[in-house]
Amino acid sequence: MLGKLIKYEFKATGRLLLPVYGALLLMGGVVNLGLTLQGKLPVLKFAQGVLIFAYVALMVAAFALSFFVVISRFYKNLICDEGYLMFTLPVKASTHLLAKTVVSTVWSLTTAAVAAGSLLLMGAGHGVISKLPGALRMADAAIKGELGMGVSELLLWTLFTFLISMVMTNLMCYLSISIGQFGRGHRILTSVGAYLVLNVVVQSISTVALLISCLFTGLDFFGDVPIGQLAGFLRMVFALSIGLSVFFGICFYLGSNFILSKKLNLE
Amino acid sequence: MNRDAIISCQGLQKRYSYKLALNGLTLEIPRGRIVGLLGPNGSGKTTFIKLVSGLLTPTAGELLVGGHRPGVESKRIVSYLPERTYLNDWMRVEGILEMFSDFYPDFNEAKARDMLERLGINPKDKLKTMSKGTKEKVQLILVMSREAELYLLDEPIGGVDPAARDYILDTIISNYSENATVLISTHLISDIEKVLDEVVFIKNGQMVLQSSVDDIRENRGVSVDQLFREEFRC
Repeated sequence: MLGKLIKYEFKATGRLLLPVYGALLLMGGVVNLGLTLQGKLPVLKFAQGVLIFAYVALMVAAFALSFFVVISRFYKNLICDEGYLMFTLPVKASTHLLAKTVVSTVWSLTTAAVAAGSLLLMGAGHGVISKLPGALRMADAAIKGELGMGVSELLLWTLFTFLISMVMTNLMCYLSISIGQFGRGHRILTSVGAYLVLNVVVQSISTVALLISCLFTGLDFFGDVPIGQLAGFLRMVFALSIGLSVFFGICFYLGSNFILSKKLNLE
Repeated sequence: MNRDAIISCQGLQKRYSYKLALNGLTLEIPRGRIVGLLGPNGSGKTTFIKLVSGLLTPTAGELLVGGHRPGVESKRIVSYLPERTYLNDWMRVEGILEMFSDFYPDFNEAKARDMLERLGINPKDKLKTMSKGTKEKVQLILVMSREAELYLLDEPIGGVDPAARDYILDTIISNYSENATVLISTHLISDIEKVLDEVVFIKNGQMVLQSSVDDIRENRGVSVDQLFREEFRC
């Protein structure tokens, strides 16, 4: 049953997201073409700014849309009228939640991959890719000097933290929407309220956790970090961020599961 | 509780923050009957049906559907038609046929396609483009094409014209499985009376009467519609 639910999830969300991914990749190609033509027709230089702006706007829109599609699908399919169909299928509520979590995670990762692919497409053929190793070496030396950490390590930490926090944010929205179904006649307002409260809780716990970590490592939470300890501090912050995201993600998942399994009250 | 009855409940209670919708409902619905769940607006009919279909959780009391608490096992044998349209708007008709086939082993796709064809509904049509009435008919066809043990129909003829009402009632009578129970909730008694075997009157979240239609007509000498008007006089 989980496989079947995942199939319909991909069908419902893919029809909206795949065209956006296509547009983003196409735009990368168009910018690339623009850069090529600009070399031959200098008059096109003015268009470069417009193209780059459009490209950045499309990139931002792709991430925003990917998030919106996934969250609105959960709301529309489970809490609105379609919920009358979904929750009368011979499937556990937990299976519904798992299917949506799997699919939203795949889409979050795919959006990031398509964005990266689009950037590479934009730079292909203009020496960007061949210049990349050299640029990375220079950046590596500079960043090691400032932070005591290599650029690839920094990028990996950043990427991992970003991806995990995307998944955690999806799960936080799912819990907010699940709580929202209790707000008779004001479901969206209740969901937004729940989201804000959860946000405050997450931020508060994260700050306290960082404070405690600083106490344990002997770092001054309110002061400057000595240069020699900067790399260690960064690693600690990243690791803490990832750990907390995983912890919160699990809590939000369990919370949604409890509400949808035991406290379902579709209007 | 009688595990042979298709629905069996005792002291069933459902409380919302603003209202006590079901107040200690106790009743048994037998197998193989067409039963009318009759009551005025706000009496608890829809709440009861949603509890049986697993869309709500009871506040108190016991409820068994086909011998199981509402859950995956009961959902397998129950075919539910809500008052509202619950279909995924973006799908085509053939998409929803595929979905029903995927999730319900008892779904008879050939029968559903036949009924759709007789109504002139093209399976390639998008649900989004259909009128409300057509979508309701598609939903009814999907629900009645299942070979379920219990059909729950919540106000199936409310808000449709008299010709459509006849079509809906004919579809119900000619398509339900022989040993199955059809529970129809409605406040339009006179239209539905002719198809009913048994009636349950519900008021303020409690049962006030359960009787066969023959019994009402022969022993009380009134139609169900007349009895309803007497029982629920304002």
